[in-house]
Amino acid sequence: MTATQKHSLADTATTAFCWSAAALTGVAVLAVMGFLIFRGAGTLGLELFFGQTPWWDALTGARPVFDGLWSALAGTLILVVLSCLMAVPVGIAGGVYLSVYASRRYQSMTGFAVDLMAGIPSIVMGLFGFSMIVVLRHALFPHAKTCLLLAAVCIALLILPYLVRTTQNALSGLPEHLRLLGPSLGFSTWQNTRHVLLPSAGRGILSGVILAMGRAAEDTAVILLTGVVAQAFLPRSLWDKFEALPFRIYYLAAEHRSVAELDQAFGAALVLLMLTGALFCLAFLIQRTMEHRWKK
Amino acid sequence: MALPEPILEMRDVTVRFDEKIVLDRINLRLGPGELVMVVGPSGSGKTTLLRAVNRLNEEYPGSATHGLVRVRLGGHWLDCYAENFPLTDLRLRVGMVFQNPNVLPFSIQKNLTLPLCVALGMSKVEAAQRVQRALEDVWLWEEVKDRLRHSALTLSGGQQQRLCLARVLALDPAILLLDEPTASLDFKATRKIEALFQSLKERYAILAVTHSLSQMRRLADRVLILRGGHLVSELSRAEFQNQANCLEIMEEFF
Repeated sequence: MTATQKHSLADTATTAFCWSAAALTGVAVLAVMGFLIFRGAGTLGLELFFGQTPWWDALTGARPVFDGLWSALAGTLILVVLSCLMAVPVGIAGGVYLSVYASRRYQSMTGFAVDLMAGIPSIVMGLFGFSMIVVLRHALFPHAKTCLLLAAVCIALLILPYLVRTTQNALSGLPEHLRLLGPSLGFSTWQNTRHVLLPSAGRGILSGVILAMGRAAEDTAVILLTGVVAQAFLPRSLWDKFEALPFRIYYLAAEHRSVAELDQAFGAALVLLMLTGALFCLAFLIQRTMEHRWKK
Repeated sequence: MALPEPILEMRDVTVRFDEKIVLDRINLRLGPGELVMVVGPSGSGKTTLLRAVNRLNEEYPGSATHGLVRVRLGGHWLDCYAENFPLTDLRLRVGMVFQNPNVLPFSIQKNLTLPLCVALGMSKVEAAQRVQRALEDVWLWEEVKDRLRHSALTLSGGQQQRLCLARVLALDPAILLLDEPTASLDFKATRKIEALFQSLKERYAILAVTHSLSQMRRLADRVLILRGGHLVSELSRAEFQNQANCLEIMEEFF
């Protein structure tokens, strides 16, 4: 075999491998979604969310929902929003710091810490939250208990490293001439970051936010130890126990007593998928709107 | 004949990145209305030399500059590397155009007004008033006056580079640093930009880097040859205008 033939064989093999890997990913995603829709679509309806309670009463909180997903859906939504409110600004600021301000030495030290944090299993993060409450009960607040706020804080810690890393990478990935442009026009470091770098890196940062949101919505191990319960109504405050979709799915799948309950688990999984999809769209829209405003 | 007082002076300037010496004891004077071109093989420190003037080397980790760089602005000499030196002011008065047209992915108008609003603190109305003059200076006004709100990325390469130049001129600089500004442009766009520099020469002192010897011969008043971070030769216009002479010198140094 000549060298040219070898090269073209290697080319064909690489192309075929990449194609099949991409196709396999697509098939896997479609298979999961297809299966969820096949098993769960039938359950979709007002009853899945609100049980026997009239939907208007449930939404206004006039009457509690007993066997619908409403409390779990609201719980997860509040959890994701709360944890993102805490983690997104801090994560982006951390990424900006590491990419723009930090010295090389500090960059590698902190970068290592961030990677380490990203590697923490979520159950360990849950244990951390749980022990925090134990310590607080003994030291400061004897009435402290696991709750929505604690879960949100722990989830925020869990997703923080993704946000820091993606922001840092999005900024560091910008071409050199763009990074030098602001300073060459007399911008201060912050002005350059605010007006040139962040708008240019917007899409990269968005992908980090989406990743973080998905992680916040699906995590079960953290909330298991920090305040989720199988049966609760809408949380009345940040100090209340709450329900969440991933935990509801787990609970129904593990302990269902009838086929109808198992179907409800599939319905819940489908709802979780739709919820995260909707959140992604929202993040996408916010980013686009900001980009549009910047570009004017 | 006594030389006019320069507007930019470098004395024994050495630039290091970590331990590597990129520029070694450079001495240079640039007079008002003068266009000095720096030539030399790749990696000879041309870009670093330009960036030593507006202290852009400091944007990279591990850079250290020694020696004296001073500019004469408003009749006063300012030591660029003095402690507490107003870096922002320096960079506003010493404008830089890069090798690739680096327009921002914003509208044509915003590309010009953003630095005015951000760095000079102008109001949007004041900034907008400067836009036309800056675009006229680079012969772009007629071409873009109807689409100032369009993305700057829709312009051709040559137009983008002229927009970058307009963005710098709008800030009212005294010295221009041009880092191979026509390297990525085609023949026609290059000629247009060269003609533009000819016309700007009277108003600004220009220090430019180029790879093109023909461009050097068309534009430069004086030429500095860099090699391995050293300034190895300085040619007057008479010296490099003579083709045979010029080729001989280039053979020797490149």
